[in-house]
Amino acid sequence: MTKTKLIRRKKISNKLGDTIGGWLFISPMLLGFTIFMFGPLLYAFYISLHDWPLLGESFFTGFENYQNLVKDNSFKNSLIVTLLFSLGLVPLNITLAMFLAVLLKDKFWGIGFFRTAIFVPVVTSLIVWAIVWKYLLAPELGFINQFLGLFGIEGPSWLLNKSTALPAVIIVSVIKNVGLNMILFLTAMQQVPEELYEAAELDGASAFRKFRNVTFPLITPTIFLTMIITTIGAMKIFGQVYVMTRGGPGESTKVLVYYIWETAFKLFDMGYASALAFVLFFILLAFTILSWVVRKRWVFYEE
Amino acid sequence: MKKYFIVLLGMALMILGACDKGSESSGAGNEKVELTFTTWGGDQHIEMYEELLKEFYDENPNIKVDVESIPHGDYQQKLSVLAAGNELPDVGWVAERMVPQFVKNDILTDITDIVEDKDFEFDDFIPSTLDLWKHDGKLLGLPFSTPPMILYYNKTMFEEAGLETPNELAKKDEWTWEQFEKSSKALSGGKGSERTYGARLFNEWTNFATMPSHTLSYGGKLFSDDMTKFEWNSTEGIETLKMLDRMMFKDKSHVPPGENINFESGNVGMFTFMYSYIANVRDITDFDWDIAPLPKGPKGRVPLLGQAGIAAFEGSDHPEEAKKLLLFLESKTGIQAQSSFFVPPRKSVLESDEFINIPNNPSRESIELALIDEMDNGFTYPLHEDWTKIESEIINGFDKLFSQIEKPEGILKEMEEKIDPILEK
Repeated sequence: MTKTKLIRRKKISNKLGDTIGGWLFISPMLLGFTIFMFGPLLYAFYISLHDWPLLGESFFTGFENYQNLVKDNSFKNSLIVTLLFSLGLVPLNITLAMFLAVLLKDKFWGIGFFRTAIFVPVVTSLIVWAIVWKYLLAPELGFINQFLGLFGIEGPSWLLNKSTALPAVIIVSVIKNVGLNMILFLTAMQQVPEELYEAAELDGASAFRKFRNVTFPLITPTIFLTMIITTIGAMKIFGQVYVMTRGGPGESTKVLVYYIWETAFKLFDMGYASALAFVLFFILLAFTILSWVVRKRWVFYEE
Repeated sequence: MKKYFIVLLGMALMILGACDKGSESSGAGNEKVELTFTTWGGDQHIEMYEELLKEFYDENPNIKVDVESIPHGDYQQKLSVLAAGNELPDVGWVAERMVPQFVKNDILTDITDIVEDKDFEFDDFIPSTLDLWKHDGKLLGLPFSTPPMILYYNKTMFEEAGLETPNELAKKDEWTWEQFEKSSKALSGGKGSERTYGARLFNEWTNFATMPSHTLSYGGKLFSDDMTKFEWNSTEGIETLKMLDRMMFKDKSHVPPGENINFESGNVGMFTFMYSYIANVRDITDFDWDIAPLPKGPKGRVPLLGQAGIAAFEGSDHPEEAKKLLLFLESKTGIQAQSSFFVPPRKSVLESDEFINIPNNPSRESIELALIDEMDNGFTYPLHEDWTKIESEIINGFDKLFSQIEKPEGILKEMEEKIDPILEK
């Protein structure tokens, strides 16, 4: 009797020790998150319930900022632009990254150069990248239109044309970031066991069938990861728009984060900007939960 | 690992020791003071300040000044954000259109008492240049630059095209906006790197400061006199936008929006901006250039008078030293040094030979014609405490013109609809 009791107590105290130890181990992360993320997040919510100018007194207005969102056409527009941007960027980025990874998977002479070339934009400063592209896309003297001019094509003013501005920003963003996804795919593909390919070859599978039935299912966890990261990144896009188009022409590239920035730091309406930021937060949260739920249907070989 | 730890510990101790020393000597009144001075100037302006400040350091060996540059387009916004975070610089440039907001925010220090110093010669300031800085009997800053907008032109291009230069036309009183448009067209042409443009009226594509001059010289207005209504939406205003539209997209005589080709490249015939831009122009050796007044209309010539001043900001850790710096920058020595790029507000400097005879400067005749004679004609920026919002709407409007989304009539109508509510508040 007493013996078992003793053991049990020991077990309990062990468990408690584990719990404390666990908390201790995650405490640096936890503290950082609370102080630098969760605290400001709560404070932002508090601000969003006020008419809060940058300087001067603020007034409690309850959910007025959120109610105003419904009537705000710029807000609706920015949601649509953000959605269009993500819909353009994510599939393009993922398929291109996968295509490049397949091309550069095997070792051949000069492979290092190609892999580096595609990865270099990832480590380049976003602002520098955007400024250079802004010059390249300049209407008459920009490199791209000068180049098109050689073939007698008169290129549009890419960034000042309502129908080309958003695609231009999307493509510039894809080239900037495709290298990162490519590297992730490369690593995933290199972990596919060689014998599976051998078996497929014995069955007479074509290169496409090998990709479709061997590579693809085995790298679905990576595809899932890259899709989540890329989509969240796309919804938070700001730098390229800020440098290249400032949301224009009209409101054709005014994405949600740019609209938040403009409201907060150009119009100095912190309350409304915080409300907007909260909407973005919930959209991203909903998206993440949704993709987590549906992942079981198409992500295989997860541990 | 251990080694690193010891080095780190050593460094930490040294830093602590340094702090200790700092606090000790503060009692002796010989404390090392670091001041921040913000500008939207370019490299050459900052170099000028650093040269000028050497004299200040000789008198105040304990003070060090950090001259910072914030891009012009972001300046007001950035200072507002810094103010909200209690991180304002000690001293800084302030442009006329920022004054109402900064006064409302109470961030400009009253300097009435310090200008009474006899050696400062406060009476030397041209009185009209001070109006902007006086509020409720307080003096909240002092000007260092009071320039009318001028026109830089590529003399070589005009000569090669066999055209009369703006100055020649101005002397005959024939330098009109119509003529300006004609000359621009005549100067434009070529392909590739040879492509030349007659005009560039925007320094940055968000800086529309030249455009009101056109409207006003035809008798139009930007705002009602009491600043409660937007009145640019008028026949004259529409004409202004139409001229720009014609030059950019029909004649192709204006640098296309979004293009970054500047006056110094030698491919732009005429360029309108402040005198301070002369810093970039003096170095030009590839072609001859000169300055001229802006074109005129039936109601005369109305260049923008862009005033900028220096103010000490509230919340400084070293208010006394900040005032000292302000006083030095606005002294005769200070204004004299700054007059190499900025039209001086002190009479004695404006009339001095040093102001005119700077190496590679235009002739005295041109400076008088373009700058000094125009000082009484100009209009000053409309003042409103929500100027950043108003400006943002006007920039959006020009953006629509540049991208040809809308016609001038529609653009100005939309501006009116957006700006009137801001003015009514």
